Parts: sequence; C-alpha cells; structure tokens
Amino acid sequence: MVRLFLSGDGPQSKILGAVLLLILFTLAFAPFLFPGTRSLETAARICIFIVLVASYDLLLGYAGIVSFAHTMFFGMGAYGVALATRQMGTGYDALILGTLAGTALAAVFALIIALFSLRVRAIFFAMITLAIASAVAVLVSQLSAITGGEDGLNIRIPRELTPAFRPLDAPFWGVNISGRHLNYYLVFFSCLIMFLIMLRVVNSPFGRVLQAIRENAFRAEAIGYRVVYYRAVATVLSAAMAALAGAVFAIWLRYVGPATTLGVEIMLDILLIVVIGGMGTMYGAVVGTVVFVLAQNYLKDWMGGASESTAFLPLVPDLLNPDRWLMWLGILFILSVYFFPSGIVGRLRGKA
Amino acid sequence: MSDPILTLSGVKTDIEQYHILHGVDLEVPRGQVTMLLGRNGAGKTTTLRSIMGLWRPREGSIRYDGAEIAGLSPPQIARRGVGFVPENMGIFADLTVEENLILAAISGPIKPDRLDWVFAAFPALSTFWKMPAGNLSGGQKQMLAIARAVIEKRGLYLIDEPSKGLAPAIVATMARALKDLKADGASILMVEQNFSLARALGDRAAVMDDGLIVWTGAMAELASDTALQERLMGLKMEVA
Amino acid sequence: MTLAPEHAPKMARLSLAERLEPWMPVLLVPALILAGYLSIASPTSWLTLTVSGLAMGMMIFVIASGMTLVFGLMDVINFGHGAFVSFGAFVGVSVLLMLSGMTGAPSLVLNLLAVGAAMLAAMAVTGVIGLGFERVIVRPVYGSHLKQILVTMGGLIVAEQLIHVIWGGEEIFIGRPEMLKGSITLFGATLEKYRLVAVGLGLVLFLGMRAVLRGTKLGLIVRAGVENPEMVQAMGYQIRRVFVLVFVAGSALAGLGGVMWGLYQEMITAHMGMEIMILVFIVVIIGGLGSVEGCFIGALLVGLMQNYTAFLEPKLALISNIALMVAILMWRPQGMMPVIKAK
Repeated sequence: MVRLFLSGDGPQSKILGAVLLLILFTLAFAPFLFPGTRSLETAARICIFIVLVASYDLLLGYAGIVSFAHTMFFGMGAYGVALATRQMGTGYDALILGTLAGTALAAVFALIIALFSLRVRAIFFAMITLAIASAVAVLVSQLSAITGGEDGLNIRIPRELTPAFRPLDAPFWGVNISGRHLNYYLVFFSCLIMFLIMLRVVNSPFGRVLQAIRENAFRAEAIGYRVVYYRAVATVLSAAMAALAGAVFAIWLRYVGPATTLGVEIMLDILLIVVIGGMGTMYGAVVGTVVFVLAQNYLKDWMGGASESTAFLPLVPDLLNPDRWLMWLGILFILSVYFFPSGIVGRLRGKA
Repeated sequence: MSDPILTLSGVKTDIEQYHILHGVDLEVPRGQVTMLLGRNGAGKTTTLRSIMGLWRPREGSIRYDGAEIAGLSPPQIARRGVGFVPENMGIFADLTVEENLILAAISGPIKPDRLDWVFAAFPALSTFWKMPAGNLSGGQKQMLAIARAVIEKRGLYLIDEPSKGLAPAIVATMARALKDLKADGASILMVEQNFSLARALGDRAAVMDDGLIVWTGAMAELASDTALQERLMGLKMEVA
Repeated sequence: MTLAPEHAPKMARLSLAERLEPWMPVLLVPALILAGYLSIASPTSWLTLTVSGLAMGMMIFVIASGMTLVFGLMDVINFGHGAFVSFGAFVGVSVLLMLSGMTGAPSLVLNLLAVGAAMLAAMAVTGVIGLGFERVIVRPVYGSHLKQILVTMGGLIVAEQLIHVIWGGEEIFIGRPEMLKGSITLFGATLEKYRLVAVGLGLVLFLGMRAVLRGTKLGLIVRAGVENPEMVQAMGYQIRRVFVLVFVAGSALAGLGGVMWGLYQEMITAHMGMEIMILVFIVVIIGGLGSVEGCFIGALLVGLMQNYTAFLEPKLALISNIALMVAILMWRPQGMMPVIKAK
C-alpha cells in the first residue's frame, strides 16, 4: 500500500524514512501540535514550497534543465486565482476556474519557451527563462490596473476557508477549529497529492527516459527518443505543477503580489533548496524545504547573536549579520554542487 | 640505420568506456613515409590522436625522438616538433588563409622559403591568401591543412587521410606535394584508405585491425601481394 | 596551371542577395534607427533617444563581450558575470568619491583623470576577482553546463552578499563629474554629455578589441579557439592559458562596464549586475554565442530598442527586447552571427 503510494520509490534509508515520516506527521497535525497562527503559517508555507521545489526538481534533477522562470509559473497560478475571483466574485467556481486558467497559461507558456530554446541549445533555456521571467515580473508590477502592481491583489475566498468561520462550538483536541484550519488541510492534502503524483511521474517509464537524457542526451537521441519532446513535456509538467502550487498559495495567503510569487529571491531559494536537499531525488524537496525554512527562522537568530557577541572584531560581525545569511547559503550551495551533488538525501541514502 | 623517430609500444587507449586500442606496437623510421592502413574502425585515427595527446593512452609508451611523450599535453607534443593534419582538416573557417598559416608557424613569423614552397605546391592558397578559409573548396581546405603542417619544418608529420572525399585531380596535386615533402627527408606517419596513393607514397606499411597492428613491412611487399592485402584489409584492392 | 578549374574563385558566382546575407545583421541597426525615426514623431526626441540607445548599447557590449568570448572559447557559461559588473561599479564609485576634489573641479582634464582612475581601479579589482572566480568557481565544473550554471549562480549570490558586507546594504548615489554633467544641444536635440562620452568610449573599446582579435597572434588564437579549441591545442598553443587571460580580461571589461553603467544611472546597487545580466543574456543570444561582432550589433539593437520603446510605451520596454530576441531567434535560431563550431 505504502509502496503503491510512493510509486515504488521508497526512502531507501532508515534515517531518511524516519525523517520523512516525522515531517509528514508534523505537517499533518501541525494545527494541533503548534496551535499558534505563526506556526500554522510556516507549516502551510512548507507544504507549498515542497511542491514548488519538487516540481523544480522534476525539471532540474530529472531532466537536467535549468530554468529561471519557475516563479513565473508559480505566479501565473496565484494570479490566475486572484484575477478569477476579481472577475467572477467570491466562490469555489472562481477558485477552480482561476486555478485551471493559471495552470493552462503556465503550460502553454512553458511549451512555447521549451520549443523555442531547447530546440537550439539546452543552455539557451536558462538564459531565455531568466530574461522572460524578469520581463514578466516587471510587466506585472507595471500593469497595476490589472494586477494591482507592486501592491498586489487581495483575494476574497469563500467564508468556509477564512478564520471567521467557526464550524464547531467546542474546541477540538484543545484547538478552536476555524476556517483557517480547513484551509490548511486543503493546502496539506492538495500538496500531498501533487507530491505523490510527481513521485509517480519520475518513476514512470517517462521519468526514466528523462534521466537517460540527462545522463547523455546524445545517446538517448541515438537510441530513438525524441529528446526535445521529452524535455518539452517535462517543462510543461513542471510549470503546471508550479502553477497549481501557486494557486494553492494564493488561496492560503488570500493575497498575491510580485514579491511573494515572482521575486528573484524566491527563485534563488528554490534553487538553493533543491540543490541542498538533493537533485533528482524528489524527497530532497521535502528535506531541503524543511531544513531551509528552519534555517531561515533559527539560523538568522543565531547569526544575530553571534554577530553581536563578535562586535569587537573587524569584519566578522558584518559577515555574521543576519542579513548576510544568503551568503552562507550560497557558499553551502556551491560546496554542495561540487561535493554532494545528490544533496542531503543522497548523503542519507549513502550514495553521494 | 638510425633509431626510429617514433616508437609506440603497448599503447592502449579508451574513448569513454570503450576500449579502442588494445596495445599498439609501431615504429616510424626517420626520413621515411609509413602508411597506416586498415579498414574503417580499426583504430588508425585513434592511434594518430593518441600520439598527438588528444586522447590520453591508458597504458603503454610513446617515444618521440628518444623521449617519452605519452601523457604530455597536445601543445607540448606539438612544440616538440610533431605536425598534425587531422581527419576533418581542422581548418579555422573564420580565419583567412594567411591567418591560418600565421597561427601554424608556432616558432615565429612565417619563413619566406617555406612559404614559397607552400605556394609552389598549392598555388590556390596564394590566390585566396586574404580569403576566409571557410570559403575554400574541400580540396583547397585540405591543401591548407597540409600547408599548416609543413609551414615549419617538423620532426614528424601525422597526416590523417588527406585524400578523403577529394577529386582525383586534387589528389594528384596532394600526392606531388607529399612526394616533395618526402624528398626533403621528412618523417611521415600517414593514414590512407586510397591504396594507390598509399602505394605511391609509402616506404613502409603497418596494417591495423581491431585496435592492434596486425602486419608491418615494406610497402612494396604489401603492394605486390594481393592475397595478403585481401587477408589483411578484407578488401579487394583495385590494382591500377 | 593544370588544375585551373579547382582554383577558380567560387565567390564570383554569388548573387547580390547572397553577398549581402552576412551583412544583414549589420543592416539591422540602421533599420531599427530608421524605424525609430518613423514611429517617433519628433526628430529631436528621436536624436536624443538614439544617442542614449547607442550609449546603453555600448555599455552592454562592454559587459557582454567577455562573457560571449568565454563561452565561445571554452564552452563555459558564466551566470556570475554580473558580479563583476557590481564589483566594478562599487570599486569605481568608491574611487570617484575619494577623488571628489577632482570630480568636483570644473576642469575636464581633472574630471577625466578621476574617471580614468576609477575605471582602472575597477578593472584591476574585477580582473583579480575574475582570476579567483575562474580558479575556484569555474575550473572544477568544466564540461557540465548544468553545474556551471548552478555554481556560477551561487558565485553571483555570494559576490552580491560580499558587496553588502564591504559597502553596506544600501544603494550609493553618485553624481557625474562636473564637466560631464548637463548636455549639449545639437540640431535642437538635447544630448547628455556623459552619453556621448559613453558612446565614444564604447566605440574605442570595440575597435580596440577588433584590432586585437584581428591583428595579433593572441587574437588569432582566441578566434581560432572559439571555432576549434582542439586544433589550436594540437598546433602547439596552451588554450587554457589563453582562456584564463580572456576570462580575466572579460571580467575587467565587465567591471569597467559597471563603472560606466553606474555613472549612467547615477546610482549603484549590489543587485545591479544581476539586473543588467538580463539584457546581457538577450544580447549574447541574439548575437550568436561566441561572436564579438554579433555581440556588438546585438547590444546596439537592444540599447536602441529599449530607449525607443521606453519613450513610446514605457511599460513595454523590457518586453520589447524579449520580442526582439524571439524575432531574431525565429530568423536565425543560433543568433545573428553564429560561430561555426567544428565538431
């Protein structure tokens, strides 16, 4: 049963299995384990980022393609929901239609970019996606009449998913259940399903062809696989998944803006997580995201403390300034690419 | 007779995971033309590239002019005096004929007497002196490729199939030039599929099959023995 | 000559259209300038925009040229190239701020000396950083584009953060030197002095680079190496050393471009390199990876396009360059002046 859900691609390591189970358990019961609003926020963000990063891993780790437009697709899903609710008014139909429209747009965009750049040279893809994603981000923040510009858009979602909704009179397991919790489980289960779908994809014959192409595109082509076709499909799938994650994110946040969905910083975060977690493993997305979010929350505090306690030294406090934590991540990232290309998961599986 | 200019012993070369050369033993005498023969895929080009350092041999020794060169980088080997004309000619299409030759003269400006020699052998090169090499015809490109090797005096010339895909008239020009080079006392190791050209130029022959040298001897001996040719190369040679 | 037919010049048979073909990209620049003239009703605005477009193009060229050569020579794609732009800008601006006595004086000579000193300092520092970058970041990942993109991107992140560590987290505003402020009027059009200087400097650099590439043996090695590095090696040249040299020179030029850009925008941020890289990528792609001439033409097109559309429809400025890239890739999928790769 478990094997079926995991598509036969188990953790292959006791420690990894335990870590994954712990993460799954914690996320599944997050509202009861950590009742605060802040921690629920973090838990939802982790769920969504796991899917976002996993969908990026599908492209980077399995197809060997570097894209810098992943946040653009993420944003398309989010803006799809926002614009649909704006046009159609609050309702589940708007949420569903917006999600589908955003996903479809992302898929079409991805297909066009893929056909354009992958046909010539795989490295064009990285450069072209970077250029296009930046142009779209600029455009979104400028077309304020439609997108709300830099301020973004607030999204009105059905009342059942908002904190104002109280389905139960009495606390359940010591928690006053609100629509916010229902919204969290919407996020949790959609992300879980999406993750399992992607796990299935990478372990299907299609996924194996992708890996063959990543290892040696020339040979795969010679054997008779249409490399461009497989890469394009991977791109489209990955973009669609990112857009779905974006839609879920928008519904959860009840807000969409350029900084939360389209920013370069988010793109870099995704890149860092996928490499540190482990490229081409899917589970790397889970472990990487959790490590990253925890680091973001706690490492920064620690750095702040360390920076203050070394204030008498030259330069050191600047290097340890919490604002510089991206630098340390960057160094970790470079070292990971050199020495542990299969990341934390690869290490745990013992084949790094 | 003096010691050979080049000696390969037990050279094994892999290309990625494939074993191509299984222990090549070969001697190239000084001042003679040695023809490397054999069917397609026998390892002739790989042998030349291994000597040049373009594929690094996994095992074995390559001694050039008394010193070990296996493991040296291609520029180091070239600087010791090995001139190379690769299979695909390696012409710089974006550079003019002149620029191609300037680059080929590694030890300084082009020497006038060598240039005169090149122009006499290949007049087309002087006609298209300032033209991008990419605009040359296939035959002219091959002439340029050889001209680049001979623009300076080298201790050894490695020439990979100079007649490949060329019209007979051009092959004749080429043959004349190479004979000239030979008359000058050059040591040449040449891969050639065109047997009549090989016979006309070669002093010695070495036949390869499946990554090994299977026969060495005088060219004349091989040329006069059709049965031997058929056995070694599996081809009926037209005896023209 | 018995072999006369073989030696007959083939070129004579080419038709006019065929002979024009290689020059098509060059003609695109005047074509775009003309299109700009037709769509911008006012000739004076057009002249102003053309000059600033050319200035912008020249700066992008200075930055992009090193990147395209590095790719052409060793098949290395450096996403961290933008770091040199930012570093160059910060070093250059620091020098200018130190020399405020010279930049503030109403003397063109003193102003230019200060700017020259800033540029040289920027080039020296980014050249050294380039040397380190090549050794530490790039060298371990030869042959794998995927790893190159990841690692050089990581290098960019770290470099950007280091700028924050050294110069603080804020942007720096920088005024232009006294005599480069303001503008002159030509045919009724207002032309900023600094932009004219930028155009002139860019042109000098381009011609200088061309002279090196066409007129020196080193240049020949670089051009030949872009086409067929293996053959260059087999001829006796250590292409690795040449590559390191080109990498360092390209980094220094990016640093110089950073100073020029900083003075153009009159403001610098640690992130500016990354932002400029977007235009740089468009330029190297449409120019043809590895081609310096293509890079130059591409840069001019992008600069002009950016300025014309910014005037006509400000919101579409960046998108117009994406459209330009798409159009050129539809016409020539390998870029305008693709480098012939011997493989």
